[in-house]
Amino acid sequence: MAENVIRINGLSGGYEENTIFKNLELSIPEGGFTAIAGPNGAGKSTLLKYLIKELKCDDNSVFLMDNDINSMRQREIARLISFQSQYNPKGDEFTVSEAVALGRFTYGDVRFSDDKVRKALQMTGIEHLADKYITRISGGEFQLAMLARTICQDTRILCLDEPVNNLDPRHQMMLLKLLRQLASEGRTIICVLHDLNAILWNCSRCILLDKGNVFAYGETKSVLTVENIKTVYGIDAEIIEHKGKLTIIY
Amino acid sequence: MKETRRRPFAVGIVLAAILVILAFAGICLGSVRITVSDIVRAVFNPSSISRNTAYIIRNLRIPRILSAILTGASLALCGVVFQSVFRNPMADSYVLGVSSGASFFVGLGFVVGISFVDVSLPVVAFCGSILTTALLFLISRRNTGTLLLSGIALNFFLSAMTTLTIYLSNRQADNILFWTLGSLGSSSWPRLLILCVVTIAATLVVGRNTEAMDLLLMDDSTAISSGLNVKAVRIILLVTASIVTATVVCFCGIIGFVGLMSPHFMRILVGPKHRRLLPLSMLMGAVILLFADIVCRSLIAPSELPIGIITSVLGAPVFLMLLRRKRHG
Repeated sequence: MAENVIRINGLSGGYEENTIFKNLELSIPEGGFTAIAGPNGAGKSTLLKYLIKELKCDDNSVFLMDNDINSMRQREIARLISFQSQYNPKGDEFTVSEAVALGRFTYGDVRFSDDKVRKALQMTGIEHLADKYITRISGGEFQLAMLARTICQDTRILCLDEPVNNLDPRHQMMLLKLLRQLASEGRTIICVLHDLNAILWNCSRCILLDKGNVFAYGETKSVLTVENIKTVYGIDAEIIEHKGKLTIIY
Repeated sequence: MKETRRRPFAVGIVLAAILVILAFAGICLGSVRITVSDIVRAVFNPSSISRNTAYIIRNLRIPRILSAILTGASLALCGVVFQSVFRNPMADSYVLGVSSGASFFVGLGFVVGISFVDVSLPVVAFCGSILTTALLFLISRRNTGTLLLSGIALNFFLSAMTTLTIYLSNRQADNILFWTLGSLGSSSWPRLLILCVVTIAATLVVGRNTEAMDLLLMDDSTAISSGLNVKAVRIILLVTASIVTATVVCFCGIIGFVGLMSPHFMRILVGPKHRRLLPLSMLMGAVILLFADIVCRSLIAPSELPIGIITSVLGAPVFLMLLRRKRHG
C-alpha cells in the first residue's frame, strides 16, 4: 500500500493568463478526510483539476499511488480518483439514476450497474428520486445525486469541490457524515470547503492554501488557528469551546 | 411521483412503420403512377411489368427513396453529434454553417475546374466542412455563448461565397439552387452505395461513443474524471460528422434543419441518453426527409420543389421554439 496516495512535487502552473502554483509541494496519505480551505482564488479548485488531469502538468510533478499522472490513461486515473465538480445541469434531462450510472463509465458497465446505482442512492438517501429528472430536483438533491455518482465510481480517492453548496443544514450534516463514514472505511476524501466550522468538526486534516501556496497543512485543529485565519482570510476570529466542541466565531 | 417518458421500442416501431408506409408512398407517387403490386413485381419478377415501369421503379424511385432515408438519417446523426459536442440543442451542420463550408469548397472546386462527377469532389467538400468545424470548435472553446451566433454568421458568409463561386464557374442557376436548397433528384445506385458506406461507418463510430456523448452533456470536469478523454472523443465525433456532412452536401446539396429537428423531437420522447437518442433520431431524420421529398415532388408535379424549402418550412419554427425555450430557461 502506498503511504501517500497523492504526491505533488514542484507543481507549477494554472491557467493561460493566470499562474496559480509556483513549485507547490504536497503529500496526502491514504485514508482520512482532508479539507482544502483558503480564500477565493487561492487555487483550491485548480488543485483538484490537476489531480484528475483536467489541467496538464509537467512530468513528475503529480503522482497518484506513486505513478506519474502523465503516464496514466484517463480511465486508469478514473478508477483511482473520482471527482464531484461544481457542475450545474442546464437542459440535459437525465434521470437521477441515469446520471448516477454514468459514474461507471470507466469500467464500461454503465448499462449493467443497477445494483451499484441503487446502493449509491441508498447511501445518499435519495433512492426515492431515482426516476426524477436531474433538472427538476432541488439544488441540494442534485448535490446528493452527484455525490451518489461519485460513490458509484467506486474509487479509493474521492475529490469534491464545495459539495455542501446549496444544501440546508440537515443535508450538509448528512453529507459530511457520509464523507466521514467513507473515510472511516479507508477511502481518502479530499474536499474543498469554505465553512471553517464544518472543516473543524468533520475533517481529520486541513490544507490551508493562500495565493497558490500551502500556508499550513496538518491536523485540522493545528491549521485552523486564530493566527492562521487572520493571516490568510484577513478576519478576526475567536475559537471557543461549547459543549466540548470547538467552534470558530468570525 | 415517477417521471414518465421513454418508450423507445414503441417510438421505434411507430417510426419504422411510418417509414415503410412513406417509402411505398414515395415509390408510388410521381408523374407516373405506380401500384404496390408493380413495386413487388419490379423487385421479384421484373419481366411481368413493362420495361419502362420497371426502370422507373428500380433506377429512379427506389434509389431516390433510399437516398432520402440515408440522407435524413445521416443529417440526424450529424445533428446529434454537433448538439452533444457543443452542448447546444440548437446546433446542427446547417445552422452552424458546416454544410455551407462544404458547399463553398465544392464551389471553389468548380472554379478550378473539378467536375460534378469527379471523385475528388467529396474530398474537397470534406476540407470545407472540417475547416468550418475546426473554426467553430475554436470559437466554442473560447466562448460557448457566441457559438450559435458565430455559426449563423459563418453560414451567411459561406452561403454567399458558395453562390459567388458557382456564378464564377459559369454554372447554371439550377445548380445554384441545387447547392443552396438541396435536391435528391440526382440519386443513383453508385452514389447510394457511397452514401450507404459512409452512413454505416459513421453510425458505428458514433454508436460506439454513445455513453461518452452522455458524459459530454455534463461539464468537462465530470466527463474527464469519469475516465473520458474528452479532447480525443470530440475530435473523433467532429471529424465523423464533417465527413458525413461533406458526403451529403456533395450528393444532395444543403438540406437544412433535419439535423436540428430530429434529435429535438426524439429528446422529448425518449430523453437525452444517446444509446436511445441516436438510432431513433436517425429514424426520425429518415421519416422527415422522406416526407419532405414526397411533398416537394407532389406539390407542383410533374415539376418539383427544392427539398430544402420544405425542410426549412418545417424546421424554422422548431428553431424559433428552441430559441424561445433557451431564452426562458
